[in-house]
Amino acid sequence: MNNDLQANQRKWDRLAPRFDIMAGEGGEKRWRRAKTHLFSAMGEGDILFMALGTGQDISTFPPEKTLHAIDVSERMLSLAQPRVEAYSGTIHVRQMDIHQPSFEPGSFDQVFTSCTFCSVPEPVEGLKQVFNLLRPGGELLMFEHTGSGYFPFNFMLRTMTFLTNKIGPDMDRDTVANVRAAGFEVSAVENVYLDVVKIIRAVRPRGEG
Amino acid sequence: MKQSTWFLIGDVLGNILAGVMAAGVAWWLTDPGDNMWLAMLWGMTVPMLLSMPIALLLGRYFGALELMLTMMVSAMLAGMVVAMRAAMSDMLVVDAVIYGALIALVVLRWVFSLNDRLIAPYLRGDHHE
Repeated sequence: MNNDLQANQRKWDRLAPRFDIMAGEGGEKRWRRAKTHLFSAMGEGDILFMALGTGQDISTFPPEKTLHAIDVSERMLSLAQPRVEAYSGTIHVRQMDIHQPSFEPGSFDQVFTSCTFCSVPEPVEGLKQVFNLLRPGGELLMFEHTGSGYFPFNFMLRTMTFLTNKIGPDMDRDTVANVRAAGFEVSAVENVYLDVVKIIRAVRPRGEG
Repeated sequence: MKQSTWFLIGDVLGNILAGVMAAGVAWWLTDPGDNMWLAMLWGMTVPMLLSMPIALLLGRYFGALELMLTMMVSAMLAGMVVAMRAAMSDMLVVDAVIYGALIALVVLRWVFSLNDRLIAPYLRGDHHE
């Protein structure tokens, strides 16, 4: 497991200098409207943003929020620094792997993700850690790309994953099922592009923990 | 320019490129009298894989995931149809290219209508950024 985590960190460190070239502009513009809509749900409680990357999402955050942000890659976070500093609120940035979080359990009211659980090596285990970090009744709000239920996209995404997971994310994960498997109650799933890019809203049930 | 127009240009450009490339590759790989099923297999897989890096390059400006998915479908179908047709009888490259472009546009139309049915209502329609 530790070797897997280190390999994952190295993979994203390697990708960091090219990340904005690959994932910038086009993709971010296409998804901007949906991300702005999702992140407008940021409340006044304690917020964790997972997988900050190079900070491309920061421009879609509502103004003047205070939040914690983590990423597995130190190099990604150093590239994110100018965007973090330009934000009108406060973002406390920390290098961290979600498999080994250093926050106390029950530290957050909301956890946001953006194209995160396509890349977490053990997605259900990672989501269980998120579950523990949330207070009962806390919300998990995700912007994720997943596999598809439609042919031929499901076939395409499985084919692509053989190549993409060597350098970056998996393309065929069933993240909604993973969220449920981690113990969350899924309250809504909204499709952003086909059934591949989606917003998932889930809650840590109040009766738990 | 509206963002939706910009992305439409990208989708049409990318898919026609994928369809024409796939048709060209399938035509080049296949001769009349070849085993039709083998030709179909090559015609599907080789163009589909070739369309991935092209989609990544265009995706920088038009969105890689959306382009990659539609371009792979266009390439797979155009390659399959042209390879089967070229294995059965002689075919001009210009005919292959027309097949490729038409298939790409049909694929794109189908993906647009499927997407419009699936996405959240607030994301439908035109918008400026």
